[in-house]
Amino acid sequence: MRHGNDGREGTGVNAVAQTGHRRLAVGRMAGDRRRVWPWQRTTLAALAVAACAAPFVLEPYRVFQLTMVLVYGIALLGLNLVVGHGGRVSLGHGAFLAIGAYIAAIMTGRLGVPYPLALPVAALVTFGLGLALGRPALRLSGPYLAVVTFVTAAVVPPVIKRFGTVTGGSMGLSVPVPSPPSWTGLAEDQWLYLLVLAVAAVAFAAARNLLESRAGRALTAVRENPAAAEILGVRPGSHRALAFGWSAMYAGVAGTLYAWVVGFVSPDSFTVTLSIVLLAAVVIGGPGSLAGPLLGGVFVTFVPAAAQRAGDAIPGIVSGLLIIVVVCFAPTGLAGLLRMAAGGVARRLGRG
Amino acid sequence: MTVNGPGDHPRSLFEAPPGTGNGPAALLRVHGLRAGYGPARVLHGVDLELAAGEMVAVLGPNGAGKTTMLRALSGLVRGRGSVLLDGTELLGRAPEEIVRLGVAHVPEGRGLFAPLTVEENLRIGAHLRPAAERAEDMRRVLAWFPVLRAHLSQPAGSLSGGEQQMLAVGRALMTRPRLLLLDEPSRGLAPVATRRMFDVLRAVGSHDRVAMLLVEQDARLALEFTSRALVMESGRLTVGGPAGWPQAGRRPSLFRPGR
Amino acid sequence: MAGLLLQIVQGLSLGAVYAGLALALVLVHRFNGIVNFAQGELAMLSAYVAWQLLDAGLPFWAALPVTLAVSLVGGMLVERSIIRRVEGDRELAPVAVTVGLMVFVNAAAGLVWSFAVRSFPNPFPAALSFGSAQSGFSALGVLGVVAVMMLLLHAFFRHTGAGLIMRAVAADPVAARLSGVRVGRVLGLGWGLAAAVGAIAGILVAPLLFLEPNMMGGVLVYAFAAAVVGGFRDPVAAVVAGLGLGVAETLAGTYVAFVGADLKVIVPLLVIVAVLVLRRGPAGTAGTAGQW
Repeated sequence: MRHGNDGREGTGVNAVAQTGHRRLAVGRMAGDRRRVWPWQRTTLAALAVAACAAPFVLEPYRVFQLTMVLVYGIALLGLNLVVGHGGRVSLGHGAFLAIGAYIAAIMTGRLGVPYPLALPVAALVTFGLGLALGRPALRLSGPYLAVVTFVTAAVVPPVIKRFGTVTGGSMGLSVPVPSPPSWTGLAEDQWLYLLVLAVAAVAFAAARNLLESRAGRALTAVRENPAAAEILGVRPGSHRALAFGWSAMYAGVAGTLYAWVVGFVSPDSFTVTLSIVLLAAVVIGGPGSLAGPLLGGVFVTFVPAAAQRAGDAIPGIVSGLLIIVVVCFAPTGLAGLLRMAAGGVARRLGRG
Repeated sequence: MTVNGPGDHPRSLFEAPPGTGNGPAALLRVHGLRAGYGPARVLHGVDLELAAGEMVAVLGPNGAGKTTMLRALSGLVRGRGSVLLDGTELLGRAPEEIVRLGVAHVPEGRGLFAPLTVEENLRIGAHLRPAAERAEDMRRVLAWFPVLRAHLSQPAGSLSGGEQQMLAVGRALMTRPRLLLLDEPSRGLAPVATRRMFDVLRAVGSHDRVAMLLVEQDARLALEFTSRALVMESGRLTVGGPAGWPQAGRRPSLFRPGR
Repeated sequence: MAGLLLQIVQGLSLGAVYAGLALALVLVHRFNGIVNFAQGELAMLSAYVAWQLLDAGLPFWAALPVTLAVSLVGGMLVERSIIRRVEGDRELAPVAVTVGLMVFVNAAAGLVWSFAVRSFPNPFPAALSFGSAQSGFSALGVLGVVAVMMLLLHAFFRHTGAGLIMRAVAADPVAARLSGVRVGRVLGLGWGLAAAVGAIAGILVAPLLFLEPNMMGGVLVYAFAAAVVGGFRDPVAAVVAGLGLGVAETLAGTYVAFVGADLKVIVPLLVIVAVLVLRRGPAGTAGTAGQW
């Protein structure tokens, strides 16, 4: 045990003190109205332009990869609500992804429903499931959410296999890929990319609004100090359960997009490993930041696949080691490291 | 009954009598002790000297830092400044190492092991002592607190508040400390039991030359039993003097309700 | 009827394995409040160590204590080198680190021993067996080993000084430090003991499931369910629940056609959700939590 922590007794007090510390009014927070170059807005605008231009510049395979980054980014945005902002761990977001994907596959592939309808259905179903699972697990203090979601993630593939008449069993189901309306003149991959980009933009905006709303601030308060939050009239259990519902919904939506983009779903795409990789991506991308999920999406899309080429065991070794190293030595993740680097550059520029 | 355990330090023949606190024999020398929780400072430079066998009360309003001072001395809170126990610096050491140097702390809320039996609680206190002396120590503690004898195989959590307090003090004494830090030992005790507890503490203090630092809300009681009283206010020990001075019916203004 | 009895005995032996791993989870959680997602993979690693020793020609009952010793030291090393950095942190860091460890150990075993399935010798003599009774006999052997392990653990915690100190740390780490207990070492010992207990589960289950890096995945799910029943604190409840889950799984898989072999894994999920819905108040504070 590190000496500085003095057992567990003082942590509550420390947490309050630290929260207080973080809110000290400094610089612009204190009413400093000096004009600062709006780095954040400039970066966002540049990113938006680049994101819209990408499908017309890159070759189709790269466009597909970028689409997958966004799909995983949406799922991670949801997971980050629980992990980064709620301070709780879910190891079951692969299961919600699977449910969203299978809803899309069954609705459009089997029942012939127009594909945009699958999105709200998947969102609703996964929101409900998340709430149903989160409520009992988050009512109790303790690591129950991590355990129950882990077990859920382990159960989903065999359940899919068991009900093969609906789900196609281990053979999987193919999903009709949404085709672009002819007036757009877009190729299929470009259309899919733009579709996913639009959903991702809405998802990011919604997450941002959610976090800046009363509910979001309550969630942060609950993470920082549940006891204090409860005294202030915030019910930790219900806020966390609601956040978990939203979070599951993001994963469900990402699942539907996944089905559209990949055009095929099978139980083996949604094993526990997927849930673990998603958690790894949140941790490595940077929990509690809005940039983290995108960086995490890059991780999910590229790192395991690249490592696979070096051998079957390598993805596990790389992900496992990365999780441990990042948690122990860089708990703010890649987003935190980038922020520090950017801060360093800005300071150097300011000095020069 | 053994007076000098092997953990006891050799003493000079010329040490100052207990009560003066300033002689070369001071067991505990605290200088400029500062401590707090995160950015919240609680202690702003505490100075204190304590001789072996001396019993000193620390009085003062709630939130003045009395408990924090004890926690800093026993290593539960990180402190800065200097705390010398018989010349050995305590600051920067972990609580378990400070206990091994002879400082026992009976914290607020007692710090017992509720699911363990009374006997097991006492044995935990003695686990650092030579095996041959543990039985004798146990007999001693049970002689001081005979109530505990009837409950030896009962979980500590099932005792009454007063019995738990006695057990907590007994557990601390099982470590054969040179310095005993007591945080409101009278809390939860009936008046008769309180007097009994203080009688025991005074006897142990003078017989085994255990120095005691006693945080107490009941100023009258504390002043009756201790040789000196210090007043903690806003993170500093402001007033010191021979015990008995604030008595005589006049309550010092220090005890006005907190701001 | 004999078939049912055999099913129950087999269920109990599988349940004994779940109970062993659940006990390991409870041990870790009691001492430093961490749910160790890597517990199953550490047990798998121990099974490989045992396999390696057996492969080198050691008899089983000599390889077992060596493996347990290696697991004990290994568990303590893992705690000291990695887990200590996140002890006392809130939920994310400990869970993420043990999940990382789980993934890493699993992959490392695959790298060293390959993902191929190996057969693991059954330690219980086949000479006394005939037909289906052989599995019944080895099931009894598994039950016996787990029972002996639990008795030894109980004796250790109840009747030794080190056990008393460990119980004190589990009850209140701060009070333990104030009594001069070097809590860090006890937490390390807790991990070591848990790894050794898990190792027994791994070695016993290896002949039943075949040895491969992923063999503990399913066992971990059941062990989690059993540990949840005990609130991650109560070893007795966890062990009883593990045994019950083993029997329930075996019977449901055999006699309930709808469940069959595929859907057996839903049993632990149902158990966990039921416990979470039914339990009142903060888990682990009630009842026998202090008992070993």
